[in-house]
Amino acid sequence: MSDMDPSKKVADRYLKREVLGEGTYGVVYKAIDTHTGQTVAIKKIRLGKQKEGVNFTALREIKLLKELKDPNIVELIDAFPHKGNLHLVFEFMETDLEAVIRDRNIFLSPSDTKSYLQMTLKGLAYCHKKWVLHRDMKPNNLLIGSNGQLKLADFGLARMFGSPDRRFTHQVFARWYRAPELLFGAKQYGPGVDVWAAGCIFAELLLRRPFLQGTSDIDQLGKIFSAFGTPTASQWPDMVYLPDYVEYQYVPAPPLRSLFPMVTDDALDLLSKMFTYDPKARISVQQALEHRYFSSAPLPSDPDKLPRPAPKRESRTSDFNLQEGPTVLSPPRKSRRVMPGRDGFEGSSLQADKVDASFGDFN
Amino acid sequence: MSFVRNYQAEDRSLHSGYWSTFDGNNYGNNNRKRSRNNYYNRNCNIYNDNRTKFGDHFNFYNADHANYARYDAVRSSLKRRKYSAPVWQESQQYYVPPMVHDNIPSAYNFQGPPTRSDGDASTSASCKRDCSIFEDDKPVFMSRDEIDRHSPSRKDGIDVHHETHLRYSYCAFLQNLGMRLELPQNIIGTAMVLCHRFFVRRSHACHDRFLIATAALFLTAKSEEAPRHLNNVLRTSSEILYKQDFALLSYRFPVDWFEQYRERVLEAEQLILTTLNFELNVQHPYVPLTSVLNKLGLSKTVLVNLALNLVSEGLRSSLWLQFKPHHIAAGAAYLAAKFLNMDLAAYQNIWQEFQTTPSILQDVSQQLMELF
Repeated sequence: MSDMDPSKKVADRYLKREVLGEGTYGVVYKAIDTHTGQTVAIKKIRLGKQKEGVNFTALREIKLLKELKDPNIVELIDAFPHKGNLHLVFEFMETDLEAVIRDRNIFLSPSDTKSYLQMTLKGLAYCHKKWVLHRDMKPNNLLIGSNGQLKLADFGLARMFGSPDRRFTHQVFARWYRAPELLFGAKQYGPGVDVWAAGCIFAELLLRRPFLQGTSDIDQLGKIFSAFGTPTASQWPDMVYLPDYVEYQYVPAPPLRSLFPMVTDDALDLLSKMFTYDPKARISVQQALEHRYFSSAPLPSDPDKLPRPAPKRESRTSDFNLQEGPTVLSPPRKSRRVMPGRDGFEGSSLQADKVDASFGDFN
Repeated sequence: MSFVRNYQAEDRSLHSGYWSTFDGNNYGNNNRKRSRNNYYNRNCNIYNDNRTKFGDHFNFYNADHANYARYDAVRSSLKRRKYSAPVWQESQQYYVPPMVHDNIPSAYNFQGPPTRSDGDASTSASCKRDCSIFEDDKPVFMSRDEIDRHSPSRKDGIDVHHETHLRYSYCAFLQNLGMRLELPQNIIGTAMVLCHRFFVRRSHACHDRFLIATAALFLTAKSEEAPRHLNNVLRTSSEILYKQDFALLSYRFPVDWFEQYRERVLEAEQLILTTLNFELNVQHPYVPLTSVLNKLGLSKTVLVNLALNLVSEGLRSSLWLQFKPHHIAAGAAYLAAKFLNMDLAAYQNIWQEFQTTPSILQDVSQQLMELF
């Protein structure tokens, strides 16, 4: 089928190319905008005969992305219905942070790690400034463009916050990135949940593997407590009042240095502040950006000098041993971006983890 | 606070704004299988041969259905029906009427988004000018004159006065529907503004305002994180429009009437989204109003309550299309102070706090006054 085949043309404007990935709500295609020549990514969301009209998650994403315009947030270029589907047109991003972390051919210097974290926090700071919680922070939702710029994506679980007594669902985030208050069933929470997830991403950049890989909510809490010690009432006074609170056997906190032996003191200090148990005492994104970690040497790399995974055609699975890495490298998730040479790294594709916005719980 | 308003009736013909598609007029003579396009083409004319008067004492917030129904007091069996254009027709194209490029106001360089259908979207002769010059990527602030002169309804013979009353009627309907669905006032207000935005881009002649309003409230509730089941929305809106218990409506209409209503509301939802280019964010003046008056130590006063009520009343007007939220807030505070014989000028820098000018204050307060 030639490129100009009309059957590949969407809405007289976009030339559809290859599939980039499949998610819960439909397929993501690479496409060319024939009006501008720009390469775009089109997320096709099935509407079909939906009994409740336009998909709630898609609406949420469109509404928020129309408001959030920032260099570190993926741009929604267009949205339109076509042939019974809703199409969201995004700027095309070459890869994602998960691919960078997993690629054993890539060496991430301390400057590179610092740069990736800084861009993540900048995007998050903008969201929080606009009173939006992302609620789905994880490496494969952090997209990387051809210029090395990292951008937050997938706002399908995002929400406005600000009302003091607003109640939300705790079934958000992929489990490995979920803050302890969420695991204990908190329905009133704030930007601290995104900070915890950003801390997990920071740790993952340093370790080159997911930091806390729980197999269930209970196990996830166990992993957290074995890494940072069981929280005490003085550390986190409100913990005992959380809906799903259960007492865990006391484990003393091991020194953080034992988990991250190669990192600087500044990095350790920032990590410890991002992993503070009490969400009220946890560092804010803005405070994290002002932390001395970002101003001390080595300074963050320029985005365009950051390493990137090899393009698809150059990718060689034989370049490294697929068995070398940990057995599970991705949390259970609904949406997987198709990336070159990553078949061996796919984790469990169980989908029970990220709860769909069903009518029972829209929060 | 509810203000009673007296509107001087004008002798003019009015189309039924109800969603009243399913009476004998459409279903007699075995014509129920007639295609949606035929209906649409046949029914787009807003006027009919029956004359009616506007009712006096139109009380906006009163839950009595006569509030908005009185404008459309023609017996339903005599009325012609109008339909919102189908968003996706059988060919799976969706309706995008042709752009209007004449009489473009000099202040803006309006250009409509490209048509995205696979072929030529069909439209009826009477709706040729349905799509207005205001079709734009973002909601632009327009002057009142631009709204009044360039509304697409104008080209279908609906004058400013008439359109104002149509606006009041769908706002009253939305207020009633929203309250029955137990939706917060800010969501009801947002739905009203989305309808205003819709009708500066599409003609009242071609779109049933109550159908659009129902879809707008359903859509807004979803987008503002307070979704209501579509069935509940449909039941409640049909009860309001027909002033009958839902159970009785099943006897009045053919078997599949509810399914058809559902389908039309879902089509209207998509039409609203495409018409507004998915711009669903509406900023309300409540926050700037309360925060500025808080700063000045006027937080728990009659002034605040009156100003907030004036803002809520203002939702019926086109103010949200003309001014930024803090300008509307300033106008409401100014007018409330006038009502209460208070001199807000005594509070230093109050108008700077609202980032407004005397001319804006005058304009907003004047338009708010016109609502009473």
